[in-house]
Order: sequence, then C-alpha cells, then structure tokens
Amino acid sequence: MTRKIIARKLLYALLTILVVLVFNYILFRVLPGNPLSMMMRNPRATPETIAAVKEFYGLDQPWYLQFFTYFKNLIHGDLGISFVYKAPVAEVVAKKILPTVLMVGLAEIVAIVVGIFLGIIAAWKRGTKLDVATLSFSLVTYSVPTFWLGMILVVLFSVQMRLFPTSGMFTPGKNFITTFAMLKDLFRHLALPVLTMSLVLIGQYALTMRNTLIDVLSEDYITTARAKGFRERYILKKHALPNAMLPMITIIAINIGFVVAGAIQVETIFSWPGLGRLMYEALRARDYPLLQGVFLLVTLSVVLANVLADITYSYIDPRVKN
Amino acid sequence: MKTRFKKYTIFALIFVLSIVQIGCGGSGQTSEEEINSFTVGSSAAFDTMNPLSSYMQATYEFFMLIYDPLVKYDENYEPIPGLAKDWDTSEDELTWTFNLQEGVKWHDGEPFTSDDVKYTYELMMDTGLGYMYSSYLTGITDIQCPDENTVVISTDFPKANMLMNSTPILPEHILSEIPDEELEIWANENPVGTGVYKFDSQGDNFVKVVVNEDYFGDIPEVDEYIFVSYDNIDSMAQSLMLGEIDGANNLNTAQYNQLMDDENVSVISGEEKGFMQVGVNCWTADESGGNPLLKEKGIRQAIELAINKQKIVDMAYNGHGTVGTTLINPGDYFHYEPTEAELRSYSIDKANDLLDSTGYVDSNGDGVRESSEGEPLEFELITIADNLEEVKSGQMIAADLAEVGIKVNNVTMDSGALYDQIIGGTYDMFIWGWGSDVDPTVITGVLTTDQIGGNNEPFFSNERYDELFLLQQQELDEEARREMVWEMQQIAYEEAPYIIIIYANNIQAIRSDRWTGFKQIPETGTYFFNLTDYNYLNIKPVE
Amino acid sequence: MKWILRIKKMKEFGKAVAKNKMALTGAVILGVFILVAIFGPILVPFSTMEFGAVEDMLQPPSGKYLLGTDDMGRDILANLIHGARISLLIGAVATLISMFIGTLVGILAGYFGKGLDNVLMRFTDFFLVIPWLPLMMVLAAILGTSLWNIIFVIGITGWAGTARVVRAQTMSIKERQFVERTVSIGAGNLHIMLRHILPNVFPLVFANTVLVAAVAIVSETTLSFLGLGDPTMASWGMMLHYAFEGGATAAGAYWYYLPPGICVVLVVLSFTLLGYAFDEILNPKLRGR
Repeated sequence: MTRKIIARKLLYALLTILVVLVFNYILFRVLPGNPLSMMMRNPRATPETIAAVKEFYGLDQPWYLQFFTYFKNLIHGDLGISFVYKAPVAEVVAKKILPTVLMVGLAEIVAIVVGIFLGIIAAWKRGTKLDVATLSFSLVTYSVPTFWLGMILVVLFSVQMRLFPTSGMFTPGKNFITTFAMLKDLFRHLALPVLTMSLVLIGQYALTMRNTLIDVLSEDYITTARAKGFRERYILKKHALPNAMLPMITIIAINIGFVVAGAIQVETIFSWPGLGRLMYEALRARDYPLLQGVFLLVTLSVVLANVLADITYSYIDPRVKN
Repeated sequence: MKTRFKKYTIFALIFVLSIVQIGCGGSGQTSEEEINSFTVGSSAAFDTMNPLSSYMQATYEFFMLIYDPLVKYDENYEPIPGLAKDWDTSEDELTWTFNLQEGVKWHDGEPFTSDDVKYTYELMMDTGLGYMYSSYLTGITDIQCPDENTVVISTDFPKANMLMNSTPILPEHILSEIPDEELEIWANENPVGTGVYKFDSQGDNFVKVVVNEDYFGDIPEVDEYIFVSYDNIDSMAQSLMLGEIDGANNLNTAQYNQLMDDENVSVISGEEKGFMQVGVNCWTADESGGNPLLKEKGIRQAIELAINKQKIVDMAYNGHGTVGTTLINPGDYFHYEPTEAELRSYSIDKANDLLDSTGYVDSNGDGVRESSEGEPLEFELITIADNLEEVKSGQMIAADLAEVGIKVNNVTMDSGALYDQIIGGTYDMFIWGWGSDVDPTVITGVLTTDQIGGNNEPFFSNERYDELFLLQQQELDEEARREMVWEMQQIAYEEAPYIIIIYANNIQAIRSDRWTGFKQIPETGTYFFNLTDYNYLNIKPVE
Repeated sequence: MKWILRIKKMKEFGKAVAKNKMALTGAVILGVFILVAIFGPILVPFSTMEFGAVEDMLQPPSGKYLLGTDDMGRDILANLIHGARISLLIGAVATLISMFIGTLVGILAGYFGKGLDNVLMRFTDFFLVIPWLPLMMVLAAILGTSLWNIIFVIGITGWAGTARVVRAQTMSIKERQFVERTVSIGAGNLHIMLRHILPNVFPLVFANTVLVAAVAIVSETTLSFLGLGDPTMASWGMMLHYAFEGGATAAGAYWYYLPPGICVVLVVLSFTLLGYAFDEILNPKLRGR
C-alpha cells in the first residue's frame, strides 16, 4: 500500500473525528432540562451561589463561546468537570478504562478462541449434525439481546446455584490479606459478565469463520493442493486457515463498536465499574461533561480501531495492495 | 521466541499489578486479626461527602456516624446527649445553655471546642448551606461561647425543636481554610468528625468507616461499617444471600417473599416516616403552566375520591404500606386523623356527585367531562421513570380517574426533568415522595408560602396555614403545639394540594446468622435509615 | 418487458428461498409473528390500562391464564400478543426510515460523486463507526420517551450500512452503458435515478432490510430495558423492563421474564436466518454441495 492511501485513510479518520467532536458538542447542548437544577437539587441555593456555580462550569457564557472554550480545552486534554463526581472528567473516565478493558478483553479472547474453533469444526464437518448444531447455536446466541442473556445467567448461576456474585468488581470494602485472595475475588466477580459478553460474541465469530473457511476451501489452490495429495489437516493448517483469518481480523475490529454497546448492557446489569456503566449513570444524572467525555472516548477509540484494522488489513492482504 | 515470551510476561505482570492496585484502593490494611466488618447495602446512591451540600438520605446515614450533633435521638426518638452532655433553658425559654463533653478530639487529633459549634451553626445560618439541617436553626439570634465547653444559644422566640436539631458539628479548623464561594462544591475527600466512627476510605460505590477508639462514649462492637450503593436491587438481594453484605435497605416485595424463606436472614417490612403523593399544581398566578381547572379545590377533591388507594397499596406496593391521608404518618405523635366527615375514602359515586354538582358533565359523549366552557378534564400526570412503584401507581390512577370522566395522560421522565417542571410550575400533576423526620417542622414547612419556588411543589398558599406554621415553632407546650400541627394538616387535607396516596414501608434485611442485638425502631419501624444510630452501636456478632 | 424480467427474477429468488431450509424456517417464524401482530389484537382484547384483581398478581400458568399473569394481574399471553404488534411496528417503521435514508444517501453519493460523495460518505462513516447504543441512548434521552421518538431514534441511526452498499451499486450501474446512453439522450438526473438506478439497487436494499430489521428489534428491546422506552406501550422490551424492575427473577416468575425474551429471540432469529440465507443464495460458493 502506498503512503498516499494511508494518508488518505488518516485524513478520513480525522474528518470523522471532527464530525464526532462537533456532533458531540451540539448533541449535549440540546439535552432537556437545566443541568444546574440536576446538579444541585437545592431549593435554598441563593442567586449568588447559582451564579458562582454557573461560572465555575462555564454555563454563563453564550453558546458560541462555550463551543470555542470546548475546543480550546479539548486540545489541552481538559474535558471539563463532572457535575456528579465534582472532579475532572478526564480523571473520572481514566479510572474506568482498565475495568472495561479487562472485562471486554477477556470476553473477546474467550469469544475469539471458541468462535474460531467452532467455525473451523462447522466448516470442516460441513453438512453434518455437528455443523448444524454449531450453526444453530451461533445463530441463536447472535440473536439474543445481551441484557436478557445476562439476566438468564444470573437466574441460573446466582439465584438458583448461588455460585457467583452479580455486581461489582470486588467485594466492596473488603480487605484482602493476600494478592491471591484478591484475584480470586476478582475472578468470581468477572465470571458472569465475561460469560455473558463472550456468549454474545461467539456466534458472530463462529459464523464468520465458518463462511470464510468454506469460501477459502473452494478456492482453486486448495483444490490443487488436494489434487497433489496433501493431507486434509495439512491443507487446513497451512493453506486455508491463514487465508480465512483475514476477514476475521476485520470483523473483530468492526466489532469493537458493537462491544461498546454490549459493554453498556453487561456493565449495567452486573454493576461493573467500567466505561459502559459510567455512561449509563452519566446519562441518568444528566452529567453532560461526563457523558460527553465518555462518548468522545468511546467513539474515538472505535474510529481509531477501524483505521488500524484498515491499514493492517491492507498490509496483510496482498489483493488490496494491487 | 524467548524474548517474545518475556515481553508478554512483562505485559501480563503490569496488568496484574495494576489490577492489584485497584483492589487495594482502600486502606490497604492487611491485618491478620479477625475484624467485625458489617456491610450495609442500599439502592440509594450517595451524593457528596460534603454535609453542607448533601441532600441524599443515604449519605446522612454515615454522616451520622462520622459527625456528632449536640443532641442525638435514642431508639424512642427522645433526645440524648451527643456532643452536649447536658443542657438547660432559661425561665423565658429564650436562652439555651449546652454543656459540652470534655476532652473530645476531632479524628485528626485537634481538640473540639465550643467554637466549632458556633462556627458550624453560624456558617449554615449565614450561607443557607446544609440544606437538611439549616431549617432547624431558624429563630437563633445569637451564639456565645463563655468557655471551651459551654455554648449559649439565644433565640427570638421559644424554640420548640431546639432538642431535635441533629445538625452535625463540623471542624472549624478545616472549614475555615476553604474560601466561602467554594464551600458548596467542596469535595471533603477525607471527612473529619468527632463521631464514634472515622472515615476510612471511599470507593466507586462504597464508603467505609472504622471505629474511633478514642471516642468519648462507649465503643461499639462492630469494627467497621461499609455502606454500599447498588444500582440494581436484585444484585443487592443476591449479595445478601451470598453473604457478601450483611444488611440491605430498600428491597422489593419479590425479594421480601424470597428472603422470608431464607433462615439466615431476618427481613422486615418497616414503617417509615414519609409518604408518596400526587402533587397538584394549584398555582394561581398568570405564569402558571398548569391546567387552570386544577386550581379548583372541588376537582382536586374529586380526584382524591376517585383514586382507589387501597388497590395501589396492594398492587403497586404489594401491601407494604398503609393508605395515606395527612402530612404526618399515623403512629406519630403529631399525626392528624381526618374525621369521618372530612375523610375522602375511595368512592366513585361521591366523586361523580361532586363533579356533577360543580358543573362538570360529559356534554359531548366522549367519556371525558367538560367545564361549561367546554374545557375537558384532561390532565398530564408525570412520574419518575426509574421508580417502578410510582410508575405503576400513575397508571392505576389514570385507570381510576377514567372511571369518573377525568382523562389522565401518563408521562414519565427522570427526576431532574421533573424537578425542572416543578420549579417552573409547568406541570399539571406529578407523583413523588417525601421522607420526613422526627420534628414536624420540615414536613409541614413544605406547604408554606415561603417555600414557593423551593419545596412547595404545588405552589400552595394559605394564610392560616402559614400563621400556624410560625406559631407551632414557638410553642413549647407539646399538646398545644400538636393542636396547631393538627390544624395545619386539616387545612392541607381539605385543600388537597397533595393527594397523599400511601405511607410506604421500607423492606430491610439483616444476616441474622451472623449478627444479633438489632431491633426495629420504633417498634414497627426499620433497622436502618431511621435517623438514629441505635442499631449501628448495638449490633454484635453472633458468638 | 423489463417488468417481466424482474418478476421472473423474483420468482427465481422465491424458489431459492423455498429450497433453502434456513430461509424457509425464518420466513415461517416471521410469518407467524406478523399474522399474530395483525390479527391477534383483534381476537384478544387487552389493555395495559386495565389492571387485574389483587388475587391475580403474578400467578403461574394455569387453565385460566395459559402463560400466567404479571405483577399487575394482567394476562401475559394477551400482553405478549399486543406487544407483538408494537414491537413489530417499531421494527418495521424504523427499518423503513433507515432504508429510505440509506438508499437516498447511497444513490445521491454514488450518482453525483465528487464533492457531494465525499461529504455524504464522511457523514456515513461517522454513523457507521459511532457505537449505536450510546448514540441511541443519548438521542432517546434528548427526545423523550415516546413510541415515535423511539422509532425515529432507531431509524436515524441504522442507515449507514445500506448507504454504503447502495452507493457502490449505484456507481457500478452508472458506469453501465444504458445510463450513459440515456444521459446522451438528455434525460434528467432525477429521471435516471428513479427509473434506472433505483429499480436496480432495489434487490440489494431488500436483502439489507432483514439485517437492519433485526438490529431495529434488538434496539427497541434494549432501549426499553434500559428505561428509555415508551412506558405506555407494552412492547416486549417494556414487558422485560417491568419484569426485571419488579423483581421477577428474584421471585422465580419464569413465566414473566422468559416469554417476551423468547419472542424477541425468535423474531431476530428469523431475520438473521433470512439474512444468512440471502447471503448463501447470492453467494454461490456457500451453497450446499
């Protein structure tokens, strides 16, 4: 791929980011209700206090000035101050990144490994009962609303079997004597969110893997390899799989956008202290600066992931180069 | 290959370490000793650690443990010594002298003195901060500190609720460092009080307090309390059953039924001070955005007659509560019970008669009554979207009112948006609740003319009511005061700016397999969130 | 002549669908739900405005109530049938909006190219990459919770994929000679777009519809569940919202929280099956041996 194409892709990404920024700004200015009253449900607040708070949050300026300030501050990494947390948004958001990355990352790994495995089996044993079973499983999990699946799992594993806790990342306020005890507690809390999240993802990965593999297996060079008398397993491993992995990479990258949506649901149900729940909370409390901050971070990361996937893809896939 | 492996291990190590860091975010205490730790779960969120700007009840619960007032309540809501060991009042009942406990230290080791009391009270009176408390300070004209352990408070009228003043005393040496304009948004990340528990740490959804070994009073058996806020009550109930938490507040009926079968748990449906009401916009000014028909008392009364409150109690609240009438809960010393003649219990016939007699008939046959000018009796009823009981109640009310020819359109929004409508006076009717406290001042004060634009949600104004409100604050004779509070409730009931639907119960539970020594306060009340620290001080681990 | 060709093509497509087991399953499930949504509410009178008796609250399935009752004493089966109409209506109208915007943007961008294409595609990129649920949540919060707002929000966020596909197809059709020829005759742009391009991108739009519809149904359910739905409309999502908020899981009222979810899964599954099958039919390599 030439530099020119990369440059163009980056330019497009930048443009998208710009649209995101403007959109983000406009969107949050038209939210209903006065953020002040939400922030200080205080009938006794004096006009002076209200004015002081307004000034503190920059709400006393006309909208175009607020817009200008918004951009100026963004460049300095200043996302404003959260109404609810009464702390800088960047700080609040930063604390929530790791829990989300941990939960979503684990779920992604599980889903990719299991999904690819199922996809290979289905494609290889195509038309057998195994294929049909894998296909049905994938199609059903793909169709299940994430939150509902989460709730069913809660009923099964928490209400019925009383195996796993259903909220938070750690037992709140507990003192852990050893690191091992802490990790054990963490994994107990991780179990259900990760299971829910990965189940939702597996279906799509398995389906994509199966279809691309079937696609690849019908290519001429595979037929040639078969004709040359290579063992099937060898063909699968050396020829078919590497080529089938390409679309998987794209799907996984594109999926990041979906994962955010899933994370909101899973984190809300399991009170997981991550970005998704933060966004939901910010929305409910009409904490504009915070909502704006999370929304921005989430969108930017998705845009960047897509660009990265695009570029990587064009490096790996010889066809794109031409 | 080998170097690659190393790289990954390093990454993994960094990852694990950063998680470990989150996990130890609290005190990092790693004592091997067995500590008695009690975790209280609640569905209510905490707002801020700053007592000057906090308004959530959940936050008051641990403020009560961290900070001391001059006078506290015992389990019968009788005043007992807090920071004041005893007190006295002058002949004319205008001067109060409080003798303070000696040798009290703030959690940071600084000595506590009478100046702290003076500073706190004056700060709240001057700035209006400390929303929940400052109403108890009205009438105070002067505060003197003749010595370190004496506070003399003068009032311009005999102050009936002087001993019900639970204002937490705050440390002057810390607050005076903060510029005045920042007091309201001050984060108070490390609260320093004089209380029996010290602030320890705060996490994403919890606050932890540990026992203050240097406390001037008795040291309780529980070493630490952890207050956890849950945003899903099912998770809270499951945590209770799994043993992750020891107590739970604000459970729902389904969980009540389920926990009744759990022998490890003691679950109660306790009476709580407060009510759920339909607020009706009675604002008479031109800028009122409400439906003008609601200014008519007769229509408000007819609405009350047509609502089947008992069915709401049974279905929306699953029987956990009692049918509501007046501003103060039954069982309370100040509760006024309407007479047979005054009582508007559910009666479609009476509602129809009242509407017929006031001239509202369905003249065009669309099932909705109209005024003589053809204005239909059609109103919007706002409920808060995430309060399921209230949303259900709203739907049931709409169904009830349709029976008598009043059309109700249910609208849901979040509490902030509703609050905007209330402040702007742009609503017709809404459903919300009030929690109240021991003294009747705050809850009756809600409907005074002074509070229009503030707590007076229905824009209600009645001269006699306002007059009584001032008089009762100055009446030290309990029975005479009660007469006045009764008359106020009578007026409020007759005028019906609030249609009080239910005095709802609060369902709470404690792991009785681990803990003992707790009781309901008062006898049919709740374990926690009842304005007293009795249970926190008396719970003991089961041997 | 053209029409006959098109009908022939449709027939072929129909036959392929009938032969494909997945497509058939999907079509049958969807058909049943559509029938229920259309005729069910006529046969089974039900109103969420009416509440049952206190003794009917949260009753398990019985002869009187085949699927039991909810926490307000209402018949769940009847609620489910009426919910089908609301859920499918939201899905259908939102999908139509998406398809309309997507086709319009796609044709305009593909046909005019250059600057307009660039502007429209950056806009499309934005909607393509922006995480759909957060965007919908924010929009729903802005507009307020009513049936039409929900439809609008879902419709306005789901069109980007269609626009992309339609644009590509438009560009390839434009290159084809017949359009060039009509241009030389002097036909107007609108005429070409309506008469020549639209009919040719239509099958593609149709194939895309099933995917968008699946997302629309899931979106409605999710938004309602998160408390952003219209509380007065008893869609399946709202039923689940009430079930979970009311503690149906803790109460073990499986008859309350399972059926609406199963209905959603079935409808989404039917769309997924159809979409998957269309893919197989259009992509011959995936067809059975």
